[in-house]
Amino acid sequence: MKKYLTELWIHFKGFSGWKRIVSIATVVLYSFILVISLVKINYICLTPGTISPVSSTISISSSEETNPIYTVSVYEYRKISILHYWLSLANDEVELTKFDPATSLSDKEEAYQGELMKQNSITNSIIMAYVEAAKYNDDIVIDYDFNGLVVVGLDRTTDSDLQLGDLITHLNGTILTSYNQFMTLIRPLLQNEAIDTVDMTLVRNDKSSTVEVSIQSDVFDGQSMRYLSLLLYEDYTIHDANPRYEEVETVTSGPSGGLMQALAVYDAITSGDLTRGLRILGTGTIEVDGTVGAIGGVKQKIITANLYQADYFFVPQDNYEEAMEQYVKLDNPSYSAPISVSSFADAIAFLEGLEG
Amino acid sequence: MSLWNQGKLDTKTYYDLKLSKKTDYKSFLFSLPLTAVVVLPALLILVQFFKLYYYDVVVRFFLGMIAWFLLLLCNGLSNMFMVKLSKRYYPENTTLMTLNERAIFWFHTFDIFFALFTLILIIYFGVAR
Repeated sequence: MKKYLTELWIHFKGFSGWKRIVSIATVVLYSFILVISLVKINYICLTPGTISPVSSTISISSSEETNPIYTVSVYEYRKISILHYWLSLANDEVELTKFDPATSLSDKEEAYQGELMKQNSITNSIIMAYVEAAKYNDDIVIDYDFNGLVVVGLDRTTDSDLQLGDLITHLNGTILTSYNQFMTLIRPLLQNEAIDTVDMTLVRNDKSSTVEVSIQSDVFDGQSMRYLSLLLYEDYTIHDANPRYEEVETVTSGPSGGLMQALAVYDAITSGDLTRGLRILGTGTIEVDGTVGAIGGVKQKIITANLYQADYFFVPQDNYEEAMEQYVKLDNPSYSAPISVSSFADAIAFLEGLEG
Repeated sequence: MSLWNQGKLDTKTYYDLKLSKKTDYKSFLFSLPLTAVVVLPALLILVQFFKLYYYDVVVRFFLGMIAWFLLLLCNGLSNMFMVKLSKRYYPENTTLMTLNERAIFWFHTFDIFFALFTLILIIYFGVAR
């Protein structure tokens, strides 16, 4: 091959006039394409994604129905190439966000965070659906316990020893029983300027320890704010459930499937058919009390729902305005308009009101 | 005779030459990186388009077809480079020196069996999933 390449080089050196210009231009263009395709920049690109039936995540042993209830996911690319960035600018269906690697989570941490959030959403949706269904059927039973608050997000620049996945069980020695109780305890501490740290007892790898967490302060919209740079979710363990269910390994991550998972599980363990054969898509996190929370990438999910011919699409109330902004841009949408819901009960009420 | 038919004949002639196995493997192995160097920019651009438009089934289909054509092109290029390299290793072989690399490129780029085989693979692993 060396001989062949040497001959090629000699051949190339022998070029003159326009042949030489074309050859140099080709080499320059080649190098340019390599650089713009391989050099990465600190942007996140969100594109519309795909849909998955909830039955591919949670399967209920007593149910043979495969109800057309779907979660919607988007594709996320972190640290994209320059070419990817330029192409994205020409596509108004994608969203570009700059990120700072110094303060953001690493790729590995992001993946772990997504997994933690997904697991949390599955547990919440199962508890929510079983508790709700048990109100109408005594045979439906679920036995679960609150473990504490799990750390699902943190700022890498904070000086605490907390890590993603840590389970916080006590705040300043007081045992935690819910997220609301945690907020009740933390609010006066944040308001007291004399207090700079709080003690949190946590469980990590089955070992308990207490760490000091600094209270951060910053100015937002001209107002001084004191806060903890943490994102905490309630963590539960399900000991037993009737009917039995099984979690299936999937490639998706994040908490946004919560609402749809809860609806699908509820539909599978109760009599009747909530969907009446319609293709129900949606997004939103779920708490065990039925609250539906906001999610990211809602514009891309609105587009995805249309690509997959949704009949109805649920969005969290907090995302509704953003969802409508995108919805009005759709050409000939398959669904009438996104349905805003703030709770599981809202979604159930809507589906029960549908005519088959 | 069309270029494609000539390529078919030249390919048969090439394999009937029964060159030394070691050199034959060397030509084949070195033809692969040379092919990769030629198609690399197109491949990189295609990957970026795939990432950006993977959600759109129609665009994905067209990109899949481009990927298919790129595979056919790779087949043509690698066979062409293999014969070119063999010519460097056996300059004294007169039959080998008469082979037309362009015709071999043309024949392998539009090799129906390879085209069908790769199309099935693309449909199975890419577009349909």
